[in-house]
Amino acid sequence: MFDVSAIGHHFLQEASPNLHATPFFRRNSGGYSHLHMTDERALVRTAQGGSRQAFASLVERYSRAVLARQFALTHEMSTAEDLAQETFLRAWQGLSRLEETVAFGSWLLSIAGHVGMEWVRARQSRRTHEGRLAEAARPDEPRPGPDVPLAEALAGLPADLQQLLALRHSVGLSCEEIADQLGRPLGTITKTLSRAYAQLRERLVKK
Amino acid sequence: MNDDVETNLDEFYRGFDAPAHRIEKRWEPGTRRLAPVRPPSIGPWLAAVGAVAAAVILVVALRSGDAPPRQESAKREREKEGEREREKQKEPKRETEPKNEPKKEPTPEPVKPVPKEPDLVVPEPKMPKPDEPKPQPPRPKDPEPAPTKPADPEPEPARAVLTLKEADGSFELAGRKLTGKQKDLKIAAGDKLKATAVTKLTLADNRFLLLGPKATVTVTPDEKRLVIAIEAGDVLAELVGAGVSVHFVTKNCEIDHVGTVFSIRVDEKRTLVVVEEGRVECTNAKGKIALGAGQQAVAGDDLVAQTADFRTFAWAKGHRAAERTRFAEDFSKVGSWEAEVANGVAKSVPDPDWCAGKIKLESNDPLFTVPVKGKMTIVCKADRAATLVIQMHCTDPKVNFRREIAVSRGNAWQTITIDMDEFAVKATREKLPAGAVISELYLMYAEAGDKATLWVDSITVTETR
Repeated sequence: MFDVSAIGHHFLQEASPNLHATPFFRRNSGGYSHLHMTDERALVRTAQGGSRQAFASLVERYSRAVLARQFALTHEMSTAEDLAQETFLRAWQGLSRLEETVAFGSWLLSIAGHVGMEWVRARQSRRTHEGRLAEAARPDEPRPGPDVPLAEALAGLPADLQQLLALRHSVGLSCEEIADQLGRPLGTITKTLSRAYAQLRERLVKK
Repeated sequence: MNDDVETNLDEFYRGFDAPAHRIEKRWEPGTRRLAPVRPPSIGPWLAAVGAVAAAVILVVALRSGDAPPRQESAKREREKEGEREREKQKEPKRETEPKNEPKKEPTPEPVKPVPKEPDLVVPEPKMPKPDEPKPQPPRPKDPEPAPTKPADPEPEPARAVLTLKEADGSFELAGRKLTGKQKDLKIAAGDKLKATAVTKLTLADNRFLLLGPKATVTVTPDEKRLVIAIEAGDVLAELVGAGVSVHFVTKNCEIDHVGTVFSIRVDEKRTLVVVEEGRVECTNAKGKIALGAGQQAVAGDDLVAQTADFRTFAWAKGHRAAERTRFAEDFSKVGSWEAEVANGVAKSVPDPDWCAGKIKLESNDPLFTVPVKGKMTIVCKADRAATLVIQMHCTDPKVNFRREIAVSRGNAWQTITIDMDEFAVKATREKLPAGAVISELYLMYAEAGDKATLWVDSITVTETR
């Protein structure tokens, strides 16, 4: 109906008014819908205009990355989920203040970092007050779930690198698609991704 | 090695599928409440405090004012109350409910005691009348004098009256059939106006509304604003410039605007709001959408923003000006131009860093907003054939959009016309978006170091319809 790529800053959902009736992203499926290619900047701009639907699409895009970021701190999925939800809530409330729409992902992951650190501080404070220092010293029991060292290594990367890795591996975008979405040259994306992998490897080796 | 990391990352992110789906579900439009993640601790206390505060506010409001509180102010109160409560809830331990609905009012208690406030955003079989100053008794006949019929002598409660400068078309007003131009037409609050052909309603401030054939509206003026409830059909509002605030209500949503041209189409299932210029806010139970030029909202079961389809304006084409000037400079004054301005002509000045000659206008205030469809016309001449770069700086996004065009040498004035959609970002070829605010305008002529001069007689940006 419309040429999505020609929209510029205007988010378009004409082709699929009921956006959530179909999965917005299909991770690593290789067959993306046209909506998959919707410009992230346009999504952010529309969400800034108050569109909950556009923001829901952004949540879909970054939910795993934010969860991973919180899981690295909490080592517990339910708490990570709560903190992730809190992160998205704060992002929604502060979205109008975001000027660089291209940096939404890294901005969101920074918020995730703040939320996570608040949780850490609150937990430390609670434990001090309740005299449960002994419990704090006890190592967490290993639970089945995502790879904790990888989560920690990932969380230690700069937010912009985390954003790229999330778009590449969580959303399943190709380098060309990421370049299109973020409006950056392909070369920049591939080089930055290589740097991200190198830093991640380095951190994993240290652990 | 990279492959290992990449494979691990793929698997790693897949491990978060289940909680990710839960989070995504909570943000889906239409999701009102979350399953509680944490047990509420002081929620009931805060809710009780909120209810008491709301009751106090209500009592104070009822005592202080003769008239019942207006829908909008009550709504604002409710929003403020909800915000205050959310703030309180955040501090000790975050509750789950406001997470789901960041923009919803969390407690309905303050609303309950208000008896005379129909919720505008809930679809109703009859037209909602949000700002009726007083309850309307059933009206037997038309109460106000009109050009074609004398006033009903029966006494009835005084109603606010809107005086239109002119109504031109064919329509029924409160049951009376009127055709042709009606000067100083008075419409009493609650009168239903049904257009039988395209009808132009010109307000006292010269702004106007166009009603499409079969459009049915109810006009409710009050002291500060004019509320127009659209029951069915098409309405095009050209409300550019200062004037009385006009608020639109349909069964699906409420529409507010800022200096705007937009159309509204109401049919059985949905309301379509298409914005040509300015900003429009569309609100209903599903939330609020701010629309800019070139966007439209569909309000029905949901509230969705889309790219505008201007075919909905087609019926109004012959009933309004085909063009409108957004920016015009004839250099009759020096103004803020960086150029040699004299005798109504601007002569370029050398800029050793950028070009042989430049003419530049920079302003803290917007020079103009980019029309959905429009053109820039420059009347100029040059003493040497060269390339003219026309560059506009947009404030949001903060990007320069440019267009290069060849200018031939000659003493005669040349008229250059460029479509606005020919302007693009040099690096990305991104096109100039409609509604973008332009704050700087550069004309850069020939290469730096060359000897060339450009004279400009006028620059005009015109919106075409």
